[in-house]
Amino acid sequence: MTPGLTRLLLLAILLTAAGHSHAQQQEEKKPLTSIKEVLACDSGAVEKKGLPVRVKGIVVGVSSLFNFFHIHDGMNGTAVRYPRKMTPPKQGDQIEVVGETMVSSHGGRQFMRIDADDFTVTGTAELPRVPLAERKELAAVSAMDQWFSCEARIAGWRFNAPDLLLRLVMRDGLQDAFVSLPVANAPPVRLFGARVRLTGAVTFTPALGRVLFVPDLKQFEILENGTDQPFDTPLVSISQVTQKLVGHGECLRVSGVVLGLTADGVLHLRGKDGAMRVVMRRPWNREDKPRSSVSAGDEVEVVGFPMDAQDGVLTPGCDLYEGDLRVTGTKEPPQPAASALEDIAAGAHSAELVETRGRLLTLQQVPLEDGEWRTTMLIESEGSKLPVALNTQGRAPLDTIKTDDDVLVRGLVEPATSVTPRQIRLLGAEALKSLGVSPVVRTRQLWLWAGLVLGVLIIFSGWIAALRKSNRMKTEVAALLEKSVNERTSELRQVQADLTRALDQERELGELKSRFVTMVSHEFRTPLGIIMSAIELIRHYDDRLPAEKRQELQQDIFSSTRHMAGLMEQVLVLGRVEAGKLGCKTAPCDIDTLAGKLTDECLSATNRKCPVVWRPEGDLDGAQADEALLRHIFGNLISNAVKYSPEGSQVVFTARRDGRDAVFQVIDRGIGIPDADKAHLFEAFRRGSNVGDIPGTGLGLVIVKRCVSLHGGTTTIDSAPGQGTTFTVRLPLYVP
Amino acid sequence: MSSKILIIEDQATMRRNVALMLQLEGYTAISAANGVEGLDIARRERPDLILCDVMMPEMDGHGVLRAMRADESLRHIPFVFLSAKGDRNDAREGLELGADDYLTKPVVREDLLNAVKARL
Repeated sequence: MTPGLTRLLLLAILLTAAGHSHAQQQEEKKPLTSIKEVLACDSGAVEKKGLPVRVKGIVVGVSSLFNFFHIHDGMNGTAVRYPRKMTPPKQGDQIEVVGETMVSSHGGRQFMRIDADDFTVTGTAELPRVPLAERKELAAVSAMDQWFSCEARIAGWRFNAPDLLLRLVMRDGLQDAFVSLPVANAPPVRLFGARVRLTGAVTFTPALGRVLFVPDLKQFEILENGTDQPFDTPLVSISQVTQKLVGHGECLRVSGVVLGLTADGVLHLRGKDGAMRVVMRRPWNREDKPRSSVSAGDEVEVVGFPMDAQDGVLTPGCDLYEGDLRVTGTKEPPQPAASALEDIAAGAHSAELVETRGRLLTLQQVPLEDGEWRTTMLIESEGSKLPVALNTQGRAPLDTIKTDDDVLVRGLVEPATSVTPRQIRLLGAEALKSLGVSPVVRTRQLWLWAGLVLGVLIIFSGWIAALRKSNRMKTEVAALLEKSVNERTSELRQVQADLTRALDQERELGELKSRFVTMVSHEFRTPLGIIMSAIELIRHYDDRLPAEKRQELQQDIFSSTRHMAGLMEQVLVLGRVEAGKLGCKTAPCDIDTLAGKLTDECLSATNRKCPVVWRPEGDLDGAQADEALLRHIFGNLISNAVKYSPEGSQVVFTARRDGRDAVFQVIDRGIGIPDADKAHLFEAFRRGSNVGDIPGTGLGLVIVKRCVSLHGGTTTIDSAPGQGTTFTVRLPLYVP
Repeated sequence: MSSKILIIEDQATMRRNVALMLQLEGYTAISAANGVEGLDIARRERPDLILCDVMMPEMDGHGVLRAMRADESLRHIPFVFLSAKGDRNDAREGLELGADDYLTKPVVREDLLNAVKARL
């Protein structure tokens, strides 16, 4: 690109950016009166509508081709666009500019400038003096359009009238500049390596980006001449440069073997006493010395400018900025310095070509611009980790490389910078080789597998043990359960039996009650029926009845009533016995007397149907007995004997003493008791099947048995149908 | 000619009193002391009505009734139970067997005579 075209482009941008605001009608408002106020305007608002400006300042630089000039008011500077019809001012003019604010854009940022409607030159003045600036000050956002001075060495230059393009090496980095030269002026000679002091305004061009615009040769001061023979520059060793034994701003020469050239233009050079990194980036192409002509193994001489490897902004991590280079010979490709990864990570072998191995931890591939890809890896050895970078055109074919592989890498060591860590830069995909799965990983995998197997075994055996235990426990639990179940079952059986028995008893009691009620009902209704019929006869037919008949009826009433009374008595006794109210209270008892009384009473009660004989045997004195119980027992037995005996058949009542017991017997020659009935004889309302029409309640023997039990005795029956019955009652009446 | 009524009753006093009452009312009363005897008399005498106790030795009232209902010549004779078994179930059982009435002891004269008159 020609310098003229450059400036054309620059101004075209400025014009385009400012065009719309210029057309706007200016309002009568109080104008901005200082550049500071202009710079402080809000670009967003100004873009819509410019603010009126009336400022004074000194013209510091004027574009020779386009309608722009820079002014400075001693504090701030800005650029001013002026109408084409007007004659441009000269550098050093004092000027008053009237117009409005406008906005220019560069690098994504917006800057305030002035679109002048008119300007008036009011005089001349000296250009403002400004202190020397570092490169980083020129690079600041606020530096745009500002006036700076700086010192630098010229690392390269090219003259295309009317612009002299310069590549400057400043203490802290590279800076480009151009100097406006009148066409008539010849460019200075011996500029390479010259130390210069420049003063100008920071501006921008599409070709150079941010650039220092030096308006006139008056602002271009050569402090130290350069040379037109760069390779006459004194030769220094590489270690002198890397160890900063030679200062910034010097121009010097080194020689060595090319280890490699990275895609971003950094040459790694190995000398006798070390290796270094040389920046090969140039602001414009030098067709005479294409970079591609340099390859690994070339012996080269480099004339360049040491830079601070840390502070260099454009070329971080580099030791030297290349100004010129020549190939002096070619050798075999250099052999890498075999090195342990941990040593490299610790800082050794900077800039060297190394070959080292490590385990691949990660591998990432990301596309950059223009089909370029970056592969970033991390390898590890002995606890140290080191990134490895590879830039390739297209994606690097690394599919065979797998994480956890042991890899062998051959590449250039790049020192850490503010943006990248210390790393190995590979020059091609072939510089990365897999050695198979890392032994560490293999060992780890083995241990892992062994651990897994062991774990599985442990778990399995634990499981089996648990199963066994569980089975054992199950067996034990089952046994316990079985035992418990058996016990419970047994208990339940017992309970069931008890319940069944209770139910049976209950049922029996229910049946007993039912039978009792039925029997009582029947037994009462029968005498009641007789009484009723007798009374009805007397009531309704008294006058027609003979006297003896009436007497007979009265006797019926009497007998039936007495029978009913007796029946009631038995029911009540049984009720008392069942209720437990009839206890055994023994007292001295004269058995003989009692038995006599009972015999007499029975004879009376049965109308002497049968003779009853009391026949005591031996001495019965000294008995302790409950007379009431004895009355119930023997009263019932004797009356039964009479009841079931034919009229006139003798009933014998005997008693004898047998040790502590008294043994009583009631003997009759009556109908006897069938064997089938004997088992039920003492149950309520059970009567012998052979009783016929002999009245009875079925309660007598029940009462007997209960009373004998209360007295602690026993009852036995000896009977045969038709043969008579002998009841034997044994009572402990002689207990001391 | 007065109606002939057979009284089958094991209790002698009762049998005698009922018979006397019926006679005093103008009926011809004949009696039997048990079921077998009653059935025998019934076959011989062909009573116009039978009054029968239930609980009796030899043959109870139910047996007598069944036998009568099974006998072509006796089937039509009105049959009235006069029982000391006063339970309702007893009465139902008797009626289900084909009895014409069921009287419970002690029976009031009026009830007895009404029952007899109604069946003659």
